[in-house]
Amino acid sequence: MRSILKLTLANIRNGKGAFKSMILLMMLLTFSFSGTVSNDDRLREVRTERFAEASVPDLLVWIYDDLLTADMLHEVRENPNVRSVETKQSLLFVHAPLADDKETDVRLTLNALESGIRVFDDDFRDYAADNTLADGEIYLPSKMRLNDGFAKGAKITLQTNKGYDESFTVKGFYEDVISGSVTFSGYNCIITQHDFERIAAEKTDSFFGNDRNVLSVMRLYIDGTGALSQAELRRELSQNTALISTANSAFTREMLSNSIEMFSQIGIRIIVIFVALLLTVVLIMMFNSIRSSIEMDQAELGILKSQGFTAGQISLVYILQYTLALFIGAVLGIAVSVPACRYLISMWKILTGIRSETGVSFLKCTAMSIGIILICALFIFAATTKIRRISPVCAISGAKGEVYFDSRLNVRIRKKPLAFFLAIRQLNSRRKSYLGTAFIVILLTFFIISIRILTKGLDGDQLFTDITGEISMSDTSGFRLTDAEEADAAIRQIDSGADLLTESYHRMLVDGELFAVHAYRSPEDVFKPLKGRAPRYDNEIMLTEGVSEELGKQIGDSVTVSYQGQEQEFIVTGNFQCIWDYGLVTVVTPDGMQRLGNSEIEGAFVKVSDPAKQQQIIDMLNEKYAGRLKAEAFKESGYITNIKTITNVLMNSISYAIYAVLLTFAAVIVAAVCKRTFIRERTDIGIFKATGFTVGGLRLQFALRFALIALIGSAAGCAAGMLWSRKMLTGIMRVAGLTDFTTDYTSAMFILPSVMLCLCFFVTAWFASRRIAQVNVRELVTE
Amino acid sequence: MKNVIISARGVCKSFAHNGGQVHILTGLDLDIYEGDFTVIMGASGSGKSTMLYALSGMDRATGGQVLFQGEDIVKMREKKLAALRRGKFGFIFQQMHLVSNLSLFENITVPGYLNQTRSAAEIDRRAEQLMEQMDIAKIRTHLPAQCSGGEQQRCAIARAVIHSPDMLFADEPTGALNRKNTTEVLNLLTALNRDGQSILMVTHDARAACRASRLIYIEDGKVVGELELPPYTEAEEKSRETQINAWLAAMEW
Repeated sequence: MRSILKLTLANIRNGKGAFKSMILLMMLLTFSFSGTVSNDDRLREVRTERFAEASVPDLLVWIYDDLLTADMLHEVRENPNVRSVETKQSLLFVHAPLADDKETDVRLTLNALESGIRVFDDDFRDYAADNTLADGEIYLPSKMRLNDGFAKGAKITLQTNKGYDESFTVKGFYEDVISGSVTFSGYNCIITQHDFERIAAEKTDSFFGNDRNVLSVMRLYIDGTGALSQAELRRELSQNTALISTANSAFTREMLSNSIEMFSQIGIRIIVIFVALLLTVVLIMMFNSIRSSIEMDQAELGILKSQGFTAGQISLVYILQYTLALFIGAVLGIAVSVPACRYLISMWKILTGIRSETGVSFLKCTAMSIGIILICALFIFAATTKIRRISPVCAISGAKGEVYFDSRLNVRIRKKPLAFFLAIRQLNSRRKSYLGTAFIVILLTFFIISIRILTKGLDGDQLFTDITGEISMSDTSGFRLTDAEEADAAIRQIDSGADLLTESYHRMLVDGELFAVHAYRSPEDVFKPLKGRAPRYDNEIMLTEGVSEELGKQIGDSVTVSYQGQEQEFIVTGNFQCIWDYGLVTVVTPDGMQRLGNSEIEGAFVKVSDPAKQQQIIDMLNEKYAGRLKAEAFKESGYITNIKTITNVLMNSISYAIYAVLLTFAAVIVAAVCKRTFIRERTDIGIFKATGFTVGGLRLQFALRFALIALIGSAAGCAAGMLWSRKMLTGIMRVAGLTDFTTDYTSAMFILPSVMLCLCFFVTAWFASRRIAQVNVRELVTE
Repeated sequence: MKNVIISARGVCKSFAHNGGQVHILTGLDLDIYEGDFTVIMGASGSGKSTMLYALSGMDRATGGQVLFQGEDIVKMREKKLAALRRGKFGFIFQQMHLVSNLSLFENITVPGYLNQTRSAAEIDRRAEQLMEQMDIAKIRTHLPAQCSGGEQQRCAIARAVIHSPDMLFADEPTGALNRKNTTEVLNLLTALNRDGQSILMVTHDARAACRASRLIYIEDGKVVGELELPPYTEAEEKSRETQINAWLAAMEW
């Protein structure tokens, strides 16, 4: 064992094998998963802890107080699968509040202060010591910081049936554990118990009335007995009580967890694929390095065998050498991930609304690193089987066997450009040894292209599919679908090319499962069908692929939609995808929505064809539907803009980090392959120098050779990207509800990564080949 | 009166060894003449190969001057030396050193393509002529590993003269060859010299030395003996060999 250790150390000391390169590659590999996995762990830990503190139930139901009957509640409480039901009241303000007397575009729900609330300090790094609240003060969820006007100290004025008469001063932003994630659409704010009880007693309106400003909403915290899963409990209550079909929403704890962890889960999926790719690259790199090392050191290996070393013992030298490099790389990678975790966790805080501690999951990351090292060790063992075939005679013959090159594909060497033709020849002569490198380029290109497609596809504008127009209408509680035709006609009298667009949605029971049901009045399909077609008639429905899978319903099948006691049959006409509600969405026509008894409009816009008529249409709508809607020139919601910005910043950060890691990876690989090539071709370099080649000319030939490998590899990588990127990305994005990840391909998506890799290979090979200058023609002399 | 083609004055060459210095050449003075077939001989370790590499610019002398056409190649920059190798000098190694993945034809033409004054077609034509002359035209597409040592060395000679160099250097060109191949290679060098090619060859083979018109004996990095010979003829080979052996004996070889 002592002699094996000595040999290993001697190999490392003399720079044999790709010791430094393996350290760097393993460092990048470990760094990649360590940061992501650790942050996911921290997020899950804090989410679990906060959920336990907040007693988040198996099922959380929001329902208008006026719709919640005693019978309904009794049915739920008496259900054998329900252990407990706790009710809490909230107040939903129908109209958007004023912030420092400026209009906003959000709808707030107020809750009474409970103990244990965590309020962020001013720089959002820690919690404030003071979490008390006085009458007239309000805590907002941290995600509202993203909205213009909602700053600490701002005055929030809410509209009740007595006008804008309820004002609160923002005391701070709190950690909203249940609905604080940006993927959750509600804004739950906190006021004192006294203020809450006062408004609830004096200013709540009837859900059935015409003038609705403040509505009482009940939150039902339902815990099961444990006999059923959370999803099964929801289904059980959907089928056996009227609660779920009447409720605004009903989320299982798992769904609430997903809303917090969605981005982290997408990150994990990307990293799993990324790490698998990098590991493949490391294995190829190691295999090539070991094989060429064995090939070049045949004489020395023959000497070792002639001295009594077995093939197994020599393999052990390689295993020790490479595992030591991998171990050092893993330690460095984990160490480097510590500061990276801090950056990532600050990103997650913005998205989830929950503050989690930063820290590396040392045990988990060490275990993963050990797993990778073990896989590599097995691989090294397989790669060194060739040693068994080396005879001790190699020591006598000097292992200078005859080398034949396959010349079938040889291109004739021409004078101009000589470096290019020589590069092709060198590449073609030893193409087997470059196959691994080309394969690595294919993988890198494929991944970079996929990330580019993902970044473009996740662009905020593409992700948040919605209707919009030059005129937007808010406060539409008095404006119903039944008014749409008449309003559209009035608009067309002013601008004949204009269109009224409306958006209605509500969660309803579809075949006993609660899903969002949307309806759009729009000249084009808001959601493009992936299969079949969009609904045209009032008895047609289109389902996302996620809903289709959950219900087991295909195009042509019938589904039953229930809403507030009404049941209607619909025929499935098509499948689509969308990111809202994690992809669990259905679409009917506005007529279909009315057939279900819901004629409410959640959003309305006018698409004008003549901009000069815009103000005239606004004035007409505000006059004709005074008190029922408020029309104004469209301005994009600050919140949506911010979400888009965050998504874009996050995706760009991830993609740039991945590009940086991949290009560093590529550079390390090229440097290692160059080093091997240089050792193998040292004599040839001397010959070329002796015949008049300059160092610059030889370096150019070297760099061109690697640029050619990158070119060939990236061409194949582009083809692979076109064929398989979409499938891979669909797998990643399924967690967000997208079942067919599509985006418009542009030639830049393919050309840029290829150019980047070719340049990276060329430049790295150019720098790595600087040792050509050290080759002395005198080395060719045989004394 | 012969023209001096290379002139060495006070050439020194030292190597660092075990923390100290080993001096191989210590103030060598030597003139090489145009059209001569000069052969350098000497015992092992006498510095003959070191001298050859210093004079050919393949290695840089640590002191003194090596003048070629009035320019000191010791002070030349790497780029200029490379230009000298591709235009003015040719070099033949003992171990042939052909590029293993280039065919014989390509091994000859590739260095020729570096020459900017000749077109590719001219280089190709010259390579074909040389291959005919060296009797390797039939195996022009063979790779070095598919050829005998003699064929490889003939190819190496063709490569060295593809650009019609002013000076051809040869470092024991027959050292790795059998008797038959040795004769073939020496015949080719003799033929080239007859056509006016200046040659400077290092050898310790008395048979190879027979082809020289001038013999130089080196000892401890200095010229200690010199022998002028009439042009080589095959008929006189035996008597030349006897004369050379006697001279070498006098040099205590």
